[in-house]
Amino acid sequence: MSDILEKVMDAVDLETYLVCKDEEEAEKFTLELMEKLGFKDTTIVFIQHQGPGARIRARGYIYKPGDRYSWLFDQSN
Amino acid sequence: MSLIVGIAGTAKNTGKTTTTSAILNELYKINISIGLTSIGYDGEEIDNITRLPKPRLFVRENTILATAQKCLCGGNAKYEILETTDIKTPLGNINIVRVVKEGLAVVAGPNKGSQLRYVENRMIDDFGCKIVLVDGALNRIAPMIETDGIIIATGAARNVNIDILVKETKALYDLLNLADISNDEFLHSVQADKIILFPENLNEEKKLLNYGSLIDDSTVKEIIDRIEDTRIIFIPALIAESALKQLNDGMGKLWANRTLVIKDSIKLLTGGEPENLLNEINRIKENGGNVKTLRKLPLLAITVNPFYPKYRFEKDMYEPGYIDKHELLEKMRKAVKVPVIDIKHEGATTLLNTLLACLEKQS
Amino acid sequence: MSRKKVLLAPLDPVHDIGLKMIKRGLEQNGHDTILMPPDHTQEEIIKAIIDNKADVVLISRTLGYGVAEILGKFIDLAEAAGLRDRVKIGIGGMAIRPELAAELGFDAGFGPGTTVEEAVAFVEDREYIPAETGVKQEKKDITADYKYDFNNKRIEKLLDTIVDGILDYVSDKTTTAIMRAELRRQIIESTSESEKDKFRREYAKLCDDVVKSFYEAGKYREKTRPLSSDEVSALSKYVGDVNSRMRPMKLQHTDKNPVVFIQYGTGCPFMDIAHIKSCEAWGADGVIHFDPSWGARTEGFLEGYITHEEDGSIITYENLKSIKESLAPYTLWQVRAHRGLNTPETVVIAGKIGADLTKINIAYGSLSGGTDPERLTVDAVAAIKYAAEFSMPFDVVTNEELSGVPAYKAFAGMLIVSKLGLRLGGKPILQPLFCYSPEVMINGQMEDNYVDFNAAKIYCLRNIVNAPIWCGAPIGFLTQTEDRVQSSLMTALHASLASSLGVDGISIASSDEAFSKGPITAASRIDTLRATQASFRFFGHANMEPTENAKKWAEEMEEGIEKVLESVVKNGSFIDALYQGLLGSREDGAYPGRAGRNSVLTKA
Repeated sequence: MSDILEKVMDAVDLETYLVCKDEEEAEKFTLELMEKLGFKDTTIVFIQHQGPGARIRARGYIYKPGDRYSWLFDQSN
Repeated sequence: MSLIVGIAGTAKNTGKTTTTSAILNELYKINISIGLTSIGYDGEEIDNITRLPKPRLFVRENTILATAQKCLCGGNAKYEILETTDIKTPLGNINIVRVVKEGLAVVAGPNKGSQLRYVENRMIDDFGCKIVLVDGALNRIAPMIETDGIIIATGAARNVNIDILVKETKALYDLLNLADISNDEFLHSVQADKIILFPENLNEEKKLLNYGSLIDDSTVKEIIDRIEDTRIIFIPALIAESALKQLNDGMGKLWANRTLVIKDSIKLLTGGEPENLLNEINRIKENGGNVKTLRKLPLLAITVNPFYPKYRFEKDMYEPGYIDKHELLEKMRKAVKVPVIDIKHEGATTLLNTLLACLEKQS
Repeated sequence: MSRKKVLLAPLDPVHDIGLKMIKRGLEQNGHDTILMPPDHTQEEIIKAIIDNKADVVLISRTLGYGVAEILGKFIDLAEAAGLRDRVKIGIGGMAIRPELAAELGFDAGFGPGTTVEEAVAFVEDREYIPAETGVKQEKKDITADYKYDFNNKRIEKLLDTIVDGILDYVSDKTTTAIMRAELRRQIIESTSESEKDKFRREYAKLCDDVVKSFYEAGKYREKTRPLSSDEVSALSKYVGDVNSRMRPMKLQHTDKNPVVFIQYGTGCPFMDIAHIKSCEAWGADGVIHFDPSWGARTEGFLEGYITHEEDGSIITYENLKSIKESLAPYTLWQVRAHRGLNTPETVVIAGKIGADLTKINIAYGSLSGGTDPERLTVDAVAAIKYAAEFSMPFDVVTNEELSGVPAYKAFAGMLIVSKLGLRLGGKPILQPLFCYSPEVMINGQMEDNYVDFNAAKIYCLRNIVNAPIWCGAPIGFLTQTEDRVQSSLMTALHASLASSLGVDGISIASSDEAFSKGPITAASRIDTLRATQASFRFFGHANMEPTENAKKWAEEMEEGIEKVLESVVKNGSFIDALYQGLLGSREDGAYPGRAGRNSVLTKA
């Protein structure tokens, strides 16, 4: 198997808590973080900033409906 | 004419697998039919992808292997299944296979002595093995009684203090070299699984206790209470260090002219630390008593490994550490009268010769 | 099976609750057990095995530190003591995996998540087959226990009058949708390719241009593409592989918990199937097919395996068939036909393929679903007849509430269509919404809690008629946020509220319900299934207790329904009542749909 990400059914969600001053900064950091991790098709599902930082959930799509899903073809499934 | 050799490690990283692997390589050079199995498996290095132990033993064509079902797909060696046994393990039934394509193998054999015996018999009687290697796992020692002799792998990973290490190994050596009574037909004819107290005249009535093992104070007390009429104490099963100490405390000089017969040294080694046990054995002797084993399990050789994983606090990581190899070898060789080998640097030629000599003796 | 003597011993300074549970399980299965107190030495445990002549020993070890050496020694002691060949020894605890048990020389290892049944199987020398107890082996017919008796006879009489009017009106009407449905049926049933082609040509003439060009020139609508044959065959292998390792969880904890449906419609039938299989594995009882909204505004269906890049999965015979074939035999399957210009044909395709349920509601479909009231009325009567013919119960959904129509008006429409369904031999299922609707946002019925108003809806419907109730769609709609914990919790609480009120079915959302920036994921579906299961477990047979408002609002609702129905009867025409807003007005937020306006034909 060439890439383990091909085993992801649709998307990888990343949940964490970022230390930041407001929601705008949280959004910027989140996108930076996802880019650093190598996700190409990123969406922010959830951001909530309170005081010290933000609870975030970012999503990197590996496959969207209509794509050709590698896991469907992997005979070793 | 066959030989079953157990390879036991005193701790992880003492070079048990290196020893097994080196012996295998030497044996392959002389073209002898080999059986290979293990006591359970040493799953220290689990492969994160396969969730199986990493294959570490390289096996050549025609080697006979006994390993659990799930391990047959680990590694890259290919097999022909000779027998799927009824022996169940958490990793599937034990299969006896012949290697048809050489490669790395995952060996996870039976983990009970009786099952090990079955596999060994099949390998020797039915599949023509001349030599069977039994790789130990972890600190498991009890099933090793089902071998003709053992090699002990020890080293810095067990203890970085050379003197302590040597002392401990010497204790192991001494315990495995207790005088045996292999010629005593009478005692050999006793098929008991309970402790027996024999009177002076062996033909007179003997006393059978409730337990086969010496593990609790009530049994200790019972033995001492009846010691007046007893000349031989025969213990067929486990002897716990604590109970032996209690017995010694109670017996003292009463040991004079009395003999403790144990089934084998493994029953003793299982129950405690070698040095403490040896200490108790010596106390018996100092008090005029005797200690003998019904069956001797020869210690064939000792392999030593100066390597140990050294923890570096400031870096929070392990790095290779070594103790003085020459000092270790020198002191160890002085302490014991079997070959002591630094397998990594000296190779297994000496070991092979030792094994071949044993094989010769067996026939 | 012989009775075994089992010694259970913790190799820890503290007691292991797991051993106590296993002890109870073993005793219930007729075995003798001895549970040793904690903090005994290994030698003492060995002695206890000997003294008690135990056949099996179960050791627990919770602490991970030094576990390998300690347990390895225990086995060695057992062996040296001569016990190993007659005593079976298992090990369990947080730190234990089967590999470790093998390494340590035990006969079995029980890690976290081990069931009592698994340990009992080990004691009894049986092969452990993962608990399939309670796993549904057959589909539940949620309409089975209902006789549809009306408790409110005045309402029943009003409904009958309205239904008479509808049936009278449609008796000489038809539409191209009804003709296409009949042609589709002939295409499906025909065994001759040339005959099929003949029907297809006739069919194409009755379609919009975009569909016509597909049949005549093989052109695909934008954002759709055919799936390749290797994709189709890979799918069948994938489904086969998945089915072979399927051990579905069960969501319900008690008999009174409703069946749980999930909705799918990612756009791609294959991704749908992948999601459906994941949901089945996590215990979903039923799945609902969502078609794309443009499908409802287009006259005619395409053919073949077609994928689509937007929400909703295209209805074609092949797409639906591949989904049906991938379903577990016990999974309920609903194909919606509640709005749009292809309602009768949808029911025909679904029925021919073997769908269990469909969805039809004239009031919703024409007031909030964008379909012309007259057109949908004529089509829906044909669709309901097909549903009755294929024995597919259909729910009558009241999603017009989401546009702002008050519940009592939406319920009036739902009851009319349900009565129409009963008259045509169908089995309607009432589908009130469990949602934070505009009505309550404005009037404040949910200011204090989400319980009372939803409870009022169920009380009201139960007062009127003895009919199955399936809360939709999805439950908790508009209470969920993009936070998956909050979202899953809202779904789970609504599920337990529904259960508490004794309803028969619920449709649940994924935890992505409030997220609209991309496709929802399989993981988010599992979130809410898992939450629902936990909530069912939490409440068991215990109920939630609504405040007195629930009863009060239920009565008000029932009065409101009766007044609406009276106004419809007075108006004289159901269809005109829809145009006039009697079942939901422009002020409420309902707009009669325009798709298919003036397309009703008088039968030749």
